[in-house]
Amino acid sequence: MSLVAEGVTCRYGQQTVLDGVDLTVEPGRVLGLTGPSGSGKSSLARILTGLRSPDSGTVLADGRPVAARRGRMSGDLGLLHQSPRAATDPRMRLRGIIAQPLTARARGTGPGARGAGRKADEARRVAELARRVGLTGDLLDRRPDQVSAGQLQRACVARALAAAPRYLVCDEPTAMLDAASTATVAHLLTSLAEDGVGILAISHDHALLAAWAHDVVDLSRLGAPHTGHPAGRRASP
Amino acid sequence: MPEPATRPARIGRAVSGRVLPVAALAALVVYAVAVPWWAGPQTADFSQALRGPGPAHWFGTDHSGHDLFVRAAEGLRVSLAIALACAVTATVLGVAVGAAAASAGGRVDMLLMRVTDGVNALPHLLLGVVVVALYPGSPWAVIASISLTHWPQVARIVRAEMLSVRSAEYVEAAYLWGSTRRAVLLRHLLPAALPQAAVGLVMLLPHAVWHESTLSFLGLGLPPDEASLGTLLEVARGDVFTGAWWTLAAPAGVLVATTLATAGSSGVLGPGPRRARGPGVRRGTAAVPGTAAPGAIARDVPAAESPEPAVRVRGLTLRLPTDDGRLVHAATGVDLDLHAGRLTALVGESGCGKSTLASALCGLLPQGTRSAGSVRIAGREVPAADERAWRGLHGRVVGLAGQAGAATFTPVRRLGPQLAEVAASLGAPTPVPELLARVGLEGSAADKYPHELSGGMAARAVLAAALAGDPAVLVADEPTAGLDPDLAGQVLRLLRGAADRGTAVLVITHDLQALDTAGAADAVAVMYAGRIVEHGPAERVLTAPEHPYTGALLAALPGRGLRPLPGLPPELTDPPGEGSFAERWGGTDVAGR
Repeated sequence: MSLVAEGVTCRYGQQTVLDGVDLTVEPGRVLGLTGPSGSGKSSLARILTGLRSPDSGTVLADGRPVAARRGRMSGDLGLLHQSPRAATDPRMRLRGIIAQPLTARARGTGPGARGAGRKADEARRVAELARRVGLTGDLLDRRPDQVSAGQLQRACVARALAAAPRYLVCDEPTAMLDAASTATVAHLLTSLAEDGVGILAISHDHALLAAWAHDVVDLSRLGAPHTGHPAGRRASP
Repeated sequence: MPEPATRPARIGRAVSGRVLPVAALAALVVYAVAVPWWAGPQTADFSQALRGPGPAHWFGTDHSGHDLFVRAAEGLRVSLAIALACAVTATVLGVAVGAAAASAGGRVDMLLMRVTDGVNALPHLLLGVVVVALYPGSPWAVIASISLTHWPQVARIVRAEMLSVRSAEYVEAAYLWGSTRRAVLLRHLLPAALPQAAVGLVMLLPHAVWHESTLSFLGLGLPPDEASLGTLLEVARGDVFTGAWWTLAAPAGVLVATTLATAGSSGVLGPGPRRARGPGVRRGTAAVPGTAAPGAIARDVPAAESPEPAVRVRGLTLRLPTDDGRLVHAATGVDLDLHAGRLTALVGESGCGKSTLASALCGLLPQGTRSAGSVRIAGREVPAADERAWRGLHGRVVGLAGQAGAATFTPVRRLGPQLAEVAASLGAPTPVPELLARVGLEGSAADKYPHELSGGMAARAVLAAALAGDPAVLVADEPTAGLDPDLAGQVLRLLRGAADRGTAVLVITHDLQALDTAGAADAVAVMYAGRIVEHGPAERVLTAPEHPYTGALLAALPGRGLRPLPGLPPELTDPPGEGSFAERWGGTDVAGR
């Protein structure tokens, strides 16, 4: 049971960004992935979550191929983006942003789960998630442009918690944050791993990954072009 | 501390610019609805024919003796009703086509857009003439002919807006947690496009009024017993030559007034300027007397000011009014000295007031900011509100390297000419290659467009522009944001170099790690909730901090434990308490641990 990429290759036109990458993200652990700018870290994040199809190779989540059709995704895979501003709808309030996955799920369960009961349940869940990520009630009524990047990224983490993915890919989740918010978000994601979620933490910040992740792999040794295919590329022990 | 009691003055011009057209439009609608109702059915009275404007008939009478004040109102009512029907139909059609094209994509998109192009290419008036000729005198034919030719603009706008949102990261995230296409369309794509469509609708309204009037004027629109403004214009054609100018002036005046009022009102509906967080509108500040505050500052910077520092800030207090009448306590009793040849780092969490302080040092405080305390630059007191004094200092004495990166530059022009322009406007003779060389960029960078610059190159280019006027003081706001540790180190070393050449450098950053690693700073000032809580030599502050906040900030660094700070960052908008770090310990514990 894990998120496994095998022989993943990614090309943009003539340029090969990823060449036969093997990677395993295990539940309950934080796997750090590092690599220089342009080494294909973000492309790999999109492939692992099904937002982009690999040009060759496979991605299996708990043994099943990752659903890549928009509108038909399973919700097992989450992606935490680098820029919380780009990752939130500027027209919604923080409360609504956090509740989005809950609302989407409730619709999926059919007509039985409608009405005031569901609304109250949703409000309770949002308050609980907000407390967990350390957002106060007054912030929940604001729009993204009225809070700081650190506060907004906490809301994005809360939203990721609401979606309850089995694997969460984090693409530079702290690049826009100050040191204090970075430490907070790192701890939140670690606590998520302790609940059994598999976390892939992508970052160019070696010091951060060294302090945070259980294991760290370097993408440039995993199958970025021109580096060959060293033996024992499997990322996770 | 005592708070200034005066409320921020509302910006009158912007408000009246929005209210006036809406009020005018409302008055016209009332005129169109109320006057015919009040006047009742009109009968021809040839004894009153062609009277000029006067007390009895404000707009005069036409050749049948109808009062034109009433007649124009009736015409306006018909015109507005038809125009509204046209605008609504065309907008609904446009939104439907645009939304279908954007959400289906692929071949459907291509097909729908070719149809849109095709309709757009038809001569509208000609098509209108043909349709109306088939059904003479029918208002439905007029509505159909106008709305069927005017939806393409709306369709294009809606499609473009939805396409840009469709690839947004928040839409990707929504798909990932299992949202269906329909849910994404309803929750994200339509809400993004509808404000634009609403503007399109309002802009269509005056256009449709004119279009219908044109058809009626040509005798193809509505019959005289259902007169629109266009019909009245057509009727007036004969009378004008007999000298009865008012028969034309009355409907024409109402038509022009309606067009102007509607077009003006569309601005109110639009999405409006995105409200910026923090400094938005520049220029113009109000001074607030009597707000000097004692700062509890652990400082060991030499208090003896033997050489006059390049910048000397004493007791600076800044209050920024928000839109809803609250106050952002951006700075409270700040003391800071910047010396030539020294690099001072101002550190603290995001949102603690660092950037506002930088704006104050550059004379770029947002409009309506109230300030107290003193800012002396090169030995001269510069009041925050004195725009003219600051104008001479910008770029020449104080250079600002903002945190926008590549967005500092115009995206449609190459870097070289833009830098040359900066140098020329500052009267600095330095050629562009030298400006680039100063910040370690190759000459070829001059030929690049801003979007072609990598993060590190953009940071350097911003520095090159800030240094173009050889300023005595350089303020760099988050110069290492978003850069990896190597690049951040290089940029800090560049700033160190500028300091070594004699510039007084202030680096504002939340990246303590890079600062620590590069060892570039001489002094470090730590800001918390708008106050400087610690200020001292860099080595001492970074290794043996005196204030508990500095210690907590350092402990959050990956290399020093990655320990989250307790509680939440302080709120600067109408803060409930004193804003001291101790208050924060009582806050909610993060992550429920």
